[in-house]
Amino acid sequence: MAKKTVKKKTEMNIKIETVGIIGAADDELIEISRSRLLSLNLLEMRKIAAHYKKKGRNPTDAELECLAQTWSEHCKHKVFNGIIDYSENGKKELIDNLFKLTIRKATETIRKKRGAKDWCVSVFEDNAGVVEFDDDWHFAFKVETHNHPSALDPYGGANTGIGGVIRDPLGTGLGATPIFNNNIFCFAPPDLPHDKVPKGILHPKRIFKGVVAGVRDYGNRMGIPTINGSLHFDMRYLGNPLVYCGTGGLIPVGKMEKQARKGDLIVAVGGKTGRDGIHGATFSSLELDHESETTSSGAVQIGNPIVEKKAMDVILQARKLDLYDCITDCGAGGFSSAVGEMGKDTGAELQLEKAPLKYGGLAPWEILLSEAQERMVLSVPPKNLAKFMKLCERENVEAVVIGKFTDTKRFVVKYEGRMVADLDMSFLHAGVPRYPRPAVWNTPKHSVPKVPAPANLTARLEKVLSIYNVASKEWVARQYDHEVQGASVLKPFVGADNDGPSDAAVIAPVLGSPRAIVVSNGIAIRYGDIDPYWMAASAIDEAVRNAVAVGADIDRIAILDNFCWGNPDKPDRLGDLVRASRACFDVAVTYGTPFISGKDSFYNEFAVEGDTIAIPSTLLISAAGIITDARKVVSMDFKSAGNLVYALGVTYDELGGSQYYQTLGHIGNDVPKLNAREAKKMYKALGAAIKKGLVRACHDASDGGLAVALAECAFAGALGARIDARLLPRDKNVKTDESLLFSESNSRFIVEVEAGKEDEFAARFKGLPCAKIGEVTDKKRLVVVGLKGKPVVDADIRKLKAAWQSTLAW
Amino acid sequence: MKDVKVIVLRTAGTNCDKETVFAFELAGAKADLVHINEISRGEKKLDRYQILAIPGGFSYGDDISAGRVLAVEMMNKISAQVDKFVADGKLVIGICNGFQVLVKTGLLPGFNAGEAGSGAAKQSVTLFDNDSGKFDCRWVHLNPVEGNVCVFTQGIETPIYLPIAHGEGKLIFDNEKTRDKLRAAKQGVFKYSDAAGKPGPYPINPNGSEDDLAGICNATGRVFGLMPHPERHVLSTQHPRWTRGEASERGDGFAIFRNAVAFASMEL
Amino acid sequence: MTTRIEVYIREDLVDAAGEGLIKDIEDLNVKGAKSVRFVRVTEIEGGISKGEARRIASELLSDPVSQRHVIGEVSGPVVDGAWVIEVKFNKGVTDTVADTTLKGIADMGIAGATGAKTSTKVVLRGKISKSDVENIARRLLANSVIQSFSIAKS
Repeated sequence: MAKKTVKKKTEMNIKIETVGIIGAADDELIEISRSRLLSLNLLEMRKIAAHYKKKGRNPTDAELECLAQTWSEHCKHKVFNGIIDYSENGKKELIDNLFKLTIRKATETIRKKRGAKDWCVSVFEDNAGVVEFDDDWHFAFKVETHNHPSALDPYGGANTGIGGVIRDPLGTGLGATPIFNNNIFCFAPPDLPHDKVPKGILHPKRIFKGVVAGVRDYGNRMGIPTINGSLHFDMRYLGNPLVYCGTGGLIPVGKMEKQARKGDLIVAVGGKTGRDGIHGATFSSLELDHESETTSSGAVQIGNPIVEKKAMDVILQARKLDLYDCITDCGAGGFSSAVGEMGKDTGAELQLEKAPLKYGGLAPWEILLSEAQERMVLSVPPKNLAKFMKLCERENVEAVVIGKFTDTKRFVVKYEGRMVADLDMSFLHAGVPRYPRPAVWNTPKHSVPKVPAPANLTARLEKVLSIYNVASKEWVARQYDHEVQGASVLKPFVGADNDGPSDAAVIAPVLGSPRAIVVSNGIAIRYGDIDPYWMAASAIDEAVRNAVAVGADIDRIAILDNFCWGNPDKPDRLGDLVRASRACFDVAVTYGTPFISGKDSFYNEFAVEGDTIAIPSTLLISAAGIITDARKVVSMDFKSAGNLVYALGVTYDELGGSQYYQTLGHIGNDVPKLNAREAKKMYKALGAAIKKGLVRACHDASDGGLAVALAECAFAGALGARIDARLLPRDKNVKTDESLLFSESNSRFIVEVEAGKEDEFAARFKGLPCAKIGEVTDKKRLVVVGLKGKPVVDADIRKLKAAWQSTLAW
Repeated sequence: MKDVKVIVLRTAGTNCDKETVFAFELAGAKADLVHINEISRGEKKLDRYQILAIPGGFSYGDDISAGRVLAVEMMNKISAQVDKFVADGKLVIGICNGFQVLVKTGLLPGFNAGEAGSGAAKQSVTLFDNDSGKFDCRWVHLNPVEGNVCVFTQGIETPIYLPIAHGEGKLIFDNEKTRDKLRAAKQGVFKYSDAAGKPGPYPINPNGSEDDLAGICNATGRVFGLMPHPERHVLSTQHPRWTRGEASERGDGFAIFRNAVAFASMEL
Repeated sequence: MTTRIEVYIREDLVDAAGEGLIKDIEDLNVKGAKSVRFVRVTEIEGGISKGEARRIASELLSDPVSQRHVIGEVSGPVVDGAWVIEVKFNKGVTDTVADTTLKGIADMGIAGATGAKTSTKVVLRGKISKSDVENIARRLLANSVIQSFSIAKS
């Protein structure tokens, strides 16, 4: 074994470089940005050069890094907040701040309309969105993406993805207690032959397994139940898998207000600082290629959930004792971002040499920018310091004073007395230049299958049930502890054998109280290939209707947006964003479901052999609703033979982007649209019917259409059903059984109603699309009579279930 | 009834602590959450309590192996207090990670102690990687072993239904002698079974435990450990099929806490 | 001074991680893997006596019921002709198990340990070519971003 030699690197420790940008030519500025992985463009570099010219000195390396990080797409959302030169099918317009005009405006409009009844507490400001829960608690929710690191190291990337998002509610207000996690993944198909995987990319099955293991090991160790999620597959996620992780938490009423005060001490709590994750924020603004593995290995972080759990345990105790004034998490940009943000209105002075390090040899700018995990920054008044430190010491939590808040409106960073950085807070936070980016949207035209469908659709139904996007994800869900904390009311899998797919998860987080939170999600990837407007509308509808299906009240649902997109410097990708955002505004306002938080991740493209693979523009909508009485919610499994089956909602000829077309290798053009005004009326009626106890089971129709929804209700309940599809509410253009059964039209449900309660149930849907379509049987067969009066599906439910379960039964 | 005081011991990586406190309080006890450092530093004393609960979670990340590091810490830093607690006939329950700790300290099944029970017992069984090779969160039926001596489960005569959530839950013996001794002393408490009480392969026995054992106790029946989580089934809405009308007002796990509190109230 | 302790699962017990890896090897379309056993290697830095090393190995690092251990260089379940892949963390990568190991050693009242490192050894039996073993190491075991590996034949 080689003996370890320990070199003294003291001189390197305090190496503070000055970067000559004053008077540098454009190509030199670009080279500085490139070689230092700053991800700053020429315009931004010029602005920085001009600023320093005025100051009469060149920036230090730390200042440049700090600016790059604060101005990064990851932190500033320059695309969404920027200026867009938009052309839609040839019609041109200038959009100044897409985010403000769509997402934020939707929330403002809804809050204004609700007036005194507004239940939003804090939106788009803190680390998570916050709404009212009950008299004692508010509810905080945040969903993040951790795509780029997960592509390079699936286990560590997912680990730190979940670890990072847990710190978001924990760093919201004066700290929320995490009560659940959710996660949504998008991968390339796991059965891809190995020789089809380009250089520098991990095989999708390895990414899949690694990501699941990463989320499992971190989430389970944190003692936070993973209650909701979904998985989606498309070849275009080959180089850029998407890993969405979310965390919800409860924060005591009265603990929302946070403000670091002059004289408060800056205390770093939790993990030590290492070289991990340097350039994480700017790295996520780069396209990956096969070199990424080596150039950006610093961006990968390894998690240690127990360090985070310990830190969380003491922070929640300190919260109770009112020991600190302000808190935030160390995420992208590390101390630079956390302290820079907390001291935005005051000023702050850091003494970097005090930060506990994992190992020696870090330059000051690296300590400042490191994204090492499991760190929180607190602002502690000097009078509380001893008490706070004692608490940390008792639980073996590392806590160190690394500076203090000032009133200078400057961000001053020192290392053993030497100046590392001295930045104006205003330039740091408001200096980033804005410039127009071109965006284009032209309606595409896709192929449709020309061969007519067979008369019997049973085999096709089995096929649709078995494809990756539809198949059971139980293999994944059971590796997550979804019961810890004891709050579980509706689990991810429900039914006679605990293996039917629940539409949403419900938890009653205050043990003993029936008040509950429903969590669901919506995502409609393939619709975006036809029109991102309807993709976004469908994603919102899916998230909301999943929540409504179990008994949520649409007037108490908040939503979160997570955009994962390709390179926004390419006009077509940006055009998709404009379409999708506009749908977000239209649908959210009609539904009255405010966006309370969100995130965007761009540059999800992978360069391979002179070409790039861009991910499909992917919008995840997460929904969370407040339910007053958990004992009133319903699950999706059929309950008893003899009960009646109803269909709610109109089926249109909308096979475009459907899972059914995918099994046939087509996309199609008739994408599901949405009539949000009509849908809302139905959601209110359904919510009321569930509250009244008139519904025994309810399941939304989504991927795979009504055929899949009926099959799932039946096999989850271990019961059969006899359905007459001719009775389904349908549009006149629906002329085939395949369209009737596999179209993925929005806003539809299958509902089971107890025999004898039909009239009472039906009366609540007067004037709405609602029809009795059959009954639940004890025959263990699903029989669906088609338009010609003959069975088009006739299958043993055990066979259907096997088709659905076998695909991902690893 | 006398007040019963429960100490729920926590450390880095403990979770399930709050629901364990809730379950004991629902059963009428007063439960304190106490960090192990408070015991080892003498800030709090074990002998103030009648019931010690070591809850589930991932103590110290389950690094090395599940429960090992906490077991080592207990044996080296607070063993005198723990041994006295057990010798006094007080109640100890270890759930999931707590069960792993009790087995790795040797407190369960409590064999191989020195002369006349003097000195610490040595580890004779363990909880090993699930046969499935992965962490598994699912509901299982537990058939009570007839005539078992455990004080926590008296009166439970038909299978109960609880969730498991673990990756290392396969109970194995060091040798046949230990197995025979455990059987003879009626220290097996729960066996994985179907709803009717019949044993079976995965997922009925979710981890491959020898003799289908899910929970065991010591010779006095007062130290008890199990892999499934009784504290996660004390309310009706925690039952996975309550929407199908299959739950009663109190979950199956509640009886274990009620029994413990009643026993402590009368005897301790 | 470095003390190396290797811990492996009792030969008559199923090595679940090993079984999982066999499945993954099949997914790689590599045939011939007969058995895989995992060995956890811990290297402890500092002045540890032989007696202390024995205590650390038997009380902390291994389970007396399910595992066996060896102190020193020789590995346990190595059979002649088996491939041995050792996967180590790159410098600076968080090694949480090593940190916990140090805590456990301190709790035992042993003062001399100044550092620790863990690595994983995979003992692979079967008729497999060296290039396939490299493929297994690279694609399934070690991620070059955070780990390095070495291959030897016993």
